[in-house]
Amino acid sequence: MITENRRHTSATPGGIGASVSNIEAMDKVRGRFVYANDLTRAGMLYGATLRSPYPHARIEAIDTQVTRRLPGVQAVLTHADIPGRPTYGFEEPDQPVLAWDQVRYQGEPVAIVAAESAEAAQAALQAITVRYVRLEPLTDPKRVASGEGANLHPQGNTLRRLPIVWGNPQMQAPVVVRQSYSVAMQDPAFLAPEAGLAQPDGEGGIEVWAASQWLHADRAQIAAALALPEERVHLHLAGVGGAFGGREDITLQIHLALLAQATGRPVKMSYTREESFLAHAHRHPAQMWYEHGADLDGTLRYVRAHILLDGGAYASSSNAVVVNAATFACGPYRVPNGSIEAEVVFTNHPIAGAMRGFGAVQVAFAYEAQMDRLAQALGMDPVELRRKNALRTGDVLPTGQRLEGPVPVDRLLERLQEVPLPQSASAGFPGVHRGVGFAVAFKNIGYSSGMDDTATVRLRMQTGEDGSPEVHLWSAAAEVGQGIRTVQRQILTEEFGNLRIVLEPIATDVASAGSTSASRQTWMTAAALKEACAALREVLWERAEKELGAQEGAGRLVIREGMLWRTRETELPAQEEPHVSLKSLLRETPVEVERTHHHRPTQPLDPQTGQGNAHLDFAFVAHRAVVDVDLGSGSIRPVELATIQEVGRAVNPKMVSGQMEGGSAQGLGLALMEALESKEGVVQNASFESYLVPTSEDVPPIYTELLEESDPSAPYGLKGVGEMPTLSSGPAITAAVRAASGRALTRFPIRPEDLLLPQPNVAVFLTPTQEQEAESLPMEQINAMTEEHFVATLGFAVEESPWVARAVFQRRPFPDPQALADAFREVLISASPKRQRAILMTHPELATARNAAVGLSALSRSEQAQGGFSTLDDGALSWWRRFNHLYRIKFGFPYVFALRAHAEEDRVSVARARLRNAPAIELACAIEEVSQIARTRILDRVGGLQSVMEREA
Amino acid sequence: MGTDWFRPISLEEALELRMTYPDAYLLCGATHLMTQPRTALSQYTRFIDLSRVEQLYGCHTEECVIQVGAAFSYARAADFLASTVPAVAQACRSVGTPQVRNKGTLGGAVALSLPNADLPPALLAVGAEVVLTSTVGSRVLPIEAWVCEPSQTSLQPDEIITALRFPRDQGPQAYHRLGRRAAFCFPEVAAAIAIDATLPSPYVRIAMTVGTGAFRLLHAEQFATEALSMMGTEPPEEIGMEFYGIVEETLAAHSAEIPEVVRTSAAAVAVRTLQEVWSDGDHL
Repeated sequence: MITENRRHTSATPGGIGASVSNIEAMDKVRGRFVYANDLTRAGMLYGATLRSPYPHARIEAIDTQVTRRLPGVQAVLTHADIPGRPTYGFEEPDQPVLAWDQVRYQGEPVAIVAAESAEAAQAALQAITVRYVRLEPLTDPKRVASGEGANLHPQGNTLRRLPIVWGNPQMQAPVVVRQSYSVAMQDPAFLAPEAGLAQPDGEGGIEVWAASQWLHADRAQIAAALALPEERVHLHLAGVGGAFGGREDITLQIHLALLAQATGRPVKMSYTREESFLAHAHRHPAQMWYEHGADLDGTLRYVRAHILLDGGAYASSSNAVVVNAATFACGPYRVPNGSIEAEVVFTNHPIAGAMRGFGAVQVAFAYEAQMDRLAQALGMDPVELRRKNALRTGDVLPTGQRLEGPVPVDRLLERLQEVPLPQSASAGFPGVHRGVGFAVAFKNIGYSSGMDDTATVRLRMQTGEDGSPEVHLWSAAAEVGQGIRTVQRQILTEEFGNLRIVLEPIATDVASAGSTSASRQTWMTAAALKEACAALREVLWERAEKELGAQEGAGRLVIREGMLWRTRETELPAQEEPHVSLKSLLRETPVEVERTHHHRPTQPLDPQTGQGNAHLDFAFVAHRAVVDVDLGSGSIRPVELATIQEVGRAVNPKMVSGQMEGGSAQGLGLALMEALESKEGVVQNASFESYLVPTSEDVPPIYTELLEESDPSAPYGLKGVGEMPTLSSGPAITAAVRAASGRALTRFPIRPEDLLLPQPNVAVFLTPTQEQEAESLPMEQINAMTEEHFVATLGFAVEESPWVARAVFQRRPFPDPQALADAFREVLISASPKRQRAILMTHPELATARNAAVGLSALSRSEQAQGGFSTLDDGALSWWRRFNHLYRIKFGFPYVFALRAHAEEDRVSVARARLRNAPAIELACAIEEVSQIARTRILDRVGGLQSVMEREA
Repeated sequence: MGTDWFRPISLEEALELRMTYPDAYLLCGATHLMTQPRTALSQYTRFIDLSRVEQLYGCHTEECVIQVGAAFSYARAADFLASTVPAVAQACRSVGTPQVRNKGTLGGAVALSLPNADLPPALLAVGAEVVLTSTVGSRVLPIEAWVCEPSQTSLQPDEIITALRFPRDQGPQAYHRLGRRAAFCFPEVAAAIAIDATLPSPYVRIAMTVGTGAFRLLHAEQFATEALSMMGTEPPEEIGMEFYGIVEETLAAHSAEIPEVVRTSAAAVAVRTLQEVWSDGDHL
């Protein structure tokens, strides 16, 4: 028989560390699991929601007269019918249960109906008339942040601005990488659209079955809206078909309860896919401006960043998301100085709130891109640069928080480098280039910023019907597919051996377990369970002493094989030690204990400096991605992902690997295809036909490895694992695409344009020196420079690669400018082919100068202009575009040509000839061109008056 | 209001039903039906399921023609045609998902003639024919006469698509497509090229779709045909450059709405397809 939200009794699974199957798995794969949408009650009504078609409008009138008279319609409710608080919200109640004076996003609920059939409910919606006056939607967070537009909320449009300032925020560095990045709006895209059921309990209260991440938070918000005391509102968890953060905010729960209260009958609601896309919270779109400064050896000196998050129409979890974006803005690296400003604003976009890895996911794209770019500028291997700057135990974060636990950033990367690369061949077409990229990231576990977070469990040990002892667990921890119920069984098995375990249904008849989010549920519930199990044994031993006259003794209490022991042994108790059977202890009355776990207190961040121990604990993760990038068509095929995650002690390694695979796929989606697109605030792709998520054919084989190192501050040494895989998967894929294409890739998801059309590619800057400003530099002065000074002055000679100048510095002194230029050439031609290709890849393409905003350095732009390339006619321009594309398909890097070293009339014939070269020969040719460009640039600037005169002569 | 679901077990029975209920919804693998919103299907009260009609699964090979039944699934067609009509086989391998390829049929693809689907450019390039049958007999239509305009075909109300015919032993063929993901999405760009070597002098047929409905690129065909006859005299890079330009210009002329990035990737896909045909065509 199938019962919804069933009580689980089953044979003993393994204890902690066993890869037992998720106890819900068989029901799910056999189609027997009861999801929220499968709920049904005799005589139930069907609820439906009238939503605003506009992202921003004033409501002049809502007319429901006609609707109320329609056959089969049992209730039509608007804001005027809400008995209690008219607003709700996860962090603050700023969201109308039903809109009254204005709507702030497309799809905002305005009225709800309950009718005898789903069709009648739809007809009822059609008959409601709402008079809207459309208002200008706020859709550009940048303009909102600068103060433009009318206020969407009384407190203004800036929801929160959080600075973090540490060390010397004005620090300078010899090599600077500066770039802006953006991340699109990702949808949680869970497979089961929102659904639920509510019915009156017959005593003036309400029962609600909801697919939720936190029943007690739902209950508090429902009770407030219905003007009922919380104990009159009873919530049961309905079968959840995926959550990812998107079920933390209320969607239909209050509406269901209102309709059940109004009609006195059971009411069911199920959203369509389109409603689902509009109604739940999404990942915050982000715009990020980053500047990294480093020493020539790659040691990070500072990071300065500004992060702007689009919070959409209501607050949701934005306050917490912005804390994460700010505190993880630098990634898992030692950064001694810097300043971060993170800000979240209201717009008329769909609501942004909690989604797997919130805040930390967006910044990981930016800081890992910065690390890749910095490695390129310094001529370093990207992994070597990361390992050099990796955080270690004892290091201090930008917030001043010291890392006390394991910090295995370096080990994760080291191990990942050892994993063999896939042997599979690429597609083999010309233009398909393989790239390998790495990324590493971290985030917090649990609730932060001083919140007193709790989880409660209740245990009862009793004799079952067959007279043998059994233990019952009540916990309101939401099972959303992650496996908390399986984990609870494993912990109870660990504590009590092979006792019969009964998991009572998940409901509000025990105090809150907190939210299934922030990678906290396993940690918090395990801690409460551990405390409760210990308390239960104590109570049993007291009873043993009192009732059975067991001797007092010392040592720990252990339950094994139906016996309670007091033992001094560390493993199994010895036969002669005191023990008593549970059966006899429980003969008269059961034993019941309830325990609530509070985690170690954290602190809010200082609002001016962002300093404070805001986070409970951290977990670290790294990915390596292998991709094939088609420089012809602009398509990307992931070949393999490998990931290693620091998991503390894995309660269930198989389920942890499952989280790692799923999270990696979700990160892949954000990097390559997922974007909920809005036009003037109106969502364009609220369907799985147009909002693309990766299919099983898009997700490559995923190698997963757990780094298990027991965390002393955590219950059983475990760590939360749910969010971390989503952090570094997308950035690693992006790094691999970057390695294969040389493209800057500054927006996510990556689109074919980013690979095929000219893109901004300038990111590396040198600290200006006096000498740079000078007309000409005498050789003596150059030969006397320090290394840092030398690189800052001559780094411009090779685009985006000041490391060449650093290598040249080792060959001092130089008798004359030609010798200096020769040294540049020697460094270039003796570099490894990999490094040579990297240099070529960051070069701009010829003839692109006419296209708007294409990334050319000022120097390159003026050279192309001098070479007549800024005045080509359309025919010539399109010839060069075609040529550039075919050249890149063949060789994998852009065509580089020293304009000033060749006669104008030879350009096309030289280009044709070079396209016919064999790849190895062309690489050498292209590097000669780079040397030639460097030579021209050097001779222009170096050598003093004499050389200038020589050239003019 | 009830729904009638007919499941004929012979072609004769199917044709009778078709004649009696010309507005019934015809299906075989039901892969398109499954993606339709309930509201769109509510207008139909009768469905004719052809999946039990054995005659639709037959195939035979004549001297110059291969004929395959309309109920061939994409997966089966991909295997069956792999060596003889490789461009169509490759297009079949690109449709939908593995599940869709196991259930969806060639007949269904032709009946729907979705403008941006995988099969149409391949069928155009290889010169496929559609066999249509009614109670009075059969007729054969070249694929180009079949699709009048997007989703509008020459199917008569008493006819059923019973088979597809492909010329055999023509010469090298290739098909390439580009989609926003690896499965379950229509191609953004697809190109099919087939060399008809049965003619006294070989002719290159080229068809593409860029989300606009499949069409032949006649200028590009002429260029590729001439280039083929002069094979070996000009470097392939030069031919590639020129062919790229012709494809881009053809697309620009075909529709002003094709964005630059799509033209760019389409040209590259076309060049790659030509190169593949070329390298297979060394033996010509």
